[in-house]
Amino acid sequence: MRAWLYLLGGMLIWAIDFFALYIVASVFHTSGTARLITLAVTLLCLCAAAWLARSAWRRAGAAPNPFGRWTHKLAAWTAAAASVAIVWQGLPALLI
Amino acid sequence: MSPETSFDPALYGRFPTSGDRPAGELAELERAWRVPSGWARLTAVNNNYVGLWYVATAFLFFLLAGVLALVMRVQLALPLQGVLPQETYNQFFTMHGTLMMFLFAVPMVEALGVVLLPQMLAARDLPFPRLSAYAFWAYFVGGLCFFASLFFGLAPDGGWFMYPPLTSTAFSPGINADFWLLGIGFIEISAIAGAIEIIVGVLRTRAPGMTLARMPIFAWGMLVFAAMIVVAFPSVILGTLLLELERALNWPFFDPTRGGDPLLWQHLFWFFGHPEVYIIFLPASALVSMMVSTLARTRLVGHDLIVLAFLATGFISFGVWAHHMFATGMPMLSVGFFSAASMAVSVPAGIQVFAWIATLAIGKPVFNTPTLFVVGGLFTFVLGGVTGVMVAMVPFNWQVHDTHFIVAHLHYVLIGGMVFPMFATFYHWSGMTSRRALSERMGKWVFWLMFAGMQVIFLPMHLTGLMGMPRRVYTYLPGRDLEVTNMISTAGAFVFAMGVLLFLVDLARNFRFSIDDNAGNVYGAGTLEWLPTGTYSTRSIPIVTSLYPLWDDANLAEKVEQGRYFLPGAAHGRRETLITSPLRAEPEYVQTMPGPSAWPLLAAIFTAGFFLILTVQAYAAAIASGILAVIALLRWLWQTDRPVHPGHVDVGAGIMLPTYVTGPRSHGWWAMIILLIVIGMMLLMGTFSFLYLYGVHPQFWRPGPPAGWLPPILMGYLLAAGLAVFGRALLARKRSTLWSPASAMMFAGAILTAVFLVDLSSWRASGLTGEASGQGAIVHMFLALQGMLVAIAAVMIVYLAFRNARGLVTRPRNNSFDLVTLFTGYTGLQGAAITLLTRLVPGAA
Repeated sequence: MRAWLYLLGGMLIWAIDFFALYIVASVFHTSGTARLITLAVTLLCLCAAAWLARSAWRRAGAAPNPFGRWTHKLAAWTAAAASVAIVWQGLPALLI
Repeated sequence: MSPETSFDPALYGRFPTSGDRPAGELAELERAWRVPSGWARLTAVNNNYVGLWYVATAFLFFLLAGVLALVMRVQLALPLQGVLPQETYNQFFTMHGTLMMFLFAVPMVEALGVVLLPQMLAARDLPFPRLSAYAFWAYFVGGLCFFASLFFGLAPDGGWFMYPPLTSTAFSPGINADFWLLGIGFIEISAIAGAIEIIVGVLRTRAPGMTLARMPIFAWGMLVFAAMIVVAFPSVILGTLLLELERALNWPFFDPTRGGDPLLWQHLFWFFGHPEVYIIFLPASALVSMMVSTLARTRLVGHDLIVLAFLATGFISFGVWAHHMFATGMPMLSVGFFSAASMAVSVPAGIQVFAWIATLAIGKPVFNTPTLFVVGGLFTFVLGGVTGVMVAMVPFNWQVHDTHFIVAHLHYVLIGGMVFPMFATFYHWSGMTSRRALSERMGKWVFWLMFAGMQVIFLPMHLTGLMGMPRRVYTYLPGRDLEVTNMISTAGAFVFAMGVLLFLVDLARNFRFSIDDNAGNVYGAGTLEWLPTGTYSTRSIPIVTSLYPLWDDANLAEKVEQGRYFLPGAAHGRRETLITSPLRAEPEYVQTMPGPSAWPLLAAIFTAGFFLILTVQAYAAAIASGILAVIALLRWLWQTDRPVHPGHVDVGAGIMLPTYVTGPRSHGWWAMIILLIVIGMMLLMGTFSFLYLYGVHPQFWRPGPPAGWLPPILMGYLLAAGLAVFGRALLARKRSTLWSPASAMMFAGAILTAVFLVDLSSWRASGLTGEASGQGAIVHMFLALQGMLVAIAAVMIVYLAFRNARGLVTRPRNNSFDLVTLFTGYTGLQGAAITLLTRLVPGAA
């Protein structure tokens, strides 16, 4: 289970970010408060995803076998993709 | 990464073995996996047979839904046509959408998984063959009865997404909508059974050495597909349950005049409905990825990126459901979030498209029939994807909402993303299950007719929609410039149908079902499904060292066929497969598998009977059918739950593996955890519904029963969960008596039942009924859900007690005991969660 959480960590952070934004918009509608909380959640999740991407990439370099390297790389890519998606997901709060 | 098991990978060095195999080993293997003949063949559970029946049935529904589409196109060819009356047209488009989405697309990909996965993973079969058979028969019987409703004028007519209030009793008073709600709800259960089978199969039955990094891309696609079903389908099951409860018992979940809300249905439906598109697309795209490398005769470019794309799609597709609701007046910020996610989800699809183009570009593709279907599908899917990004933009979405533009868009996506890949699959893999491959010459005709027909139908349909023709109308007035494009679309439909008809001719001429005398690897693929095969799958289970084992080891097939690898025979005379670890696929134990049986077939027939008879409101007959289904299920369980004699067997080269393990290592434990996730998702979606109704109509809500009830009910549920765990711990203790573990479990069941009854009666005493308001309805839905779980837990505990009385519960650990513990423990925890939620919001009296 730990391995799967690690592998999917980036996407899980994206999911937390997305559903948090959905709840914020549903509760506070299109208001200043909603934008502020969106920004905070986005930054928090972005930091978490970016940290995971960086740490997984480093561990990939030090992995002792090909399977370990593959796992760390996939985790890093997943977290990197999630970082981009989190930024993209937060943009509407600035634009609308 | 830390080691997963205690298996020493150095042992792989003992393979391939040398020397003669024992005489009679192959005959014993064939005997163990023999398929019954005559009528008894219907009791077969081998994946080759069940999988093929599954594919054939799904294809039959594709044809039936296609015929409905043709008649609808004839109706729309000219204005004011009288081919179909309005009511019948409504039934036709509802059945067309429902058949295509629920009875063709999802079952077809699941069926292809059942056929291809065991061979691709070099497993003997999927881990629960009788569950596959049950899922198939339930789908077959339920699907055909559901379709037959059309001949009696009873087919559903509210559209494939059945929006209330149109489908409430006020506007749909007949039983047409009930057919949809009960029929589809039941077929979804079959899909979930298949998904559990596929997840456990992919994670636990891979050939040794087939780490996640070496897993075929189709297995990845099916894994994500099945995980998405587990998360998405509970939402629509809950939705159908709520709507049926509203129709049958007048519980106002969707009635805004009594604290319900029709938009709740849309949320529940589309939380399933949009991921459904990717649920269909991912396995099909995975098949394309498999075929592209074979057809281009090179390795797939960006294999790992495609895995990443699957994972990303699996998540992001759950963030797009509300883009079907842009016109409902959601907060602008919400609309913006869903619009952003809808655009983002196209990126992983784009990664796959570029990977396929790159593979074709660097390889040496031969333009045979599968290649044509793959490239034609790619072209069509990309066009559908582009219009998909267009409708993800809110202003444009508002313009084309509910017009024929959307019909054109979704058909481009689904035909390009699933139907063309499916035909490519038929041509590419026909050699695996037929003595003769399908005809290349005829296949090219099939492709060009279908491809041209597809473009002729749906390209002009974009214009029809942009000119303002709405969906789901049975006719239109002359003089609105809609005649030409509609006539062209109808002509295209017949061209497309000619292609499908020609395919049927090809099938009739060339397809001859065979397992061990098949046409073989016609296109020269490099994956394991092309190993020599029999009813037992492969003769021995090889060690996998690359993504394309047959390309990288030219002698592999020969050595496998000689029995040089794992499990070269039937180690103890029964059907067996190797269970391996989920990440690195290290051998863990030998699973004994069940053989043919009539019980899954009977259980499926009676389950289908229960739901379908319920539709026509013959309650006594429905209950009788339900009881027979439970008896058949218990009988099936009793047979497969054999007396255990734990030991070790030689799986080849002197390597000894256990024949029985318990706890988190066992495949049964995994299946139960997935089932509990499904139930947990229903709880989660129920919680969403509860908070949603409270959020939109708080004026209808009032405090629940007196606060004094909360602590005893909460403690009762937690005590029941704790007792179940305690019973399991007692089983491992040498000093406990024969009955003490089972007694703890029986106490747990009794407490669960008593607490549930107290919970229910305290709500009834508070005066809040299901009919009173949205709050009353949703609280009673939770009580119904909890009551159902308590009843199932009680049946399981009684079953366990019977086994205990016969001395069949082995010590110190027993799988049946483990699974009953998990289920009972979960039921207690769920009860506690529901108690807290329903009694603390909006506050106890």
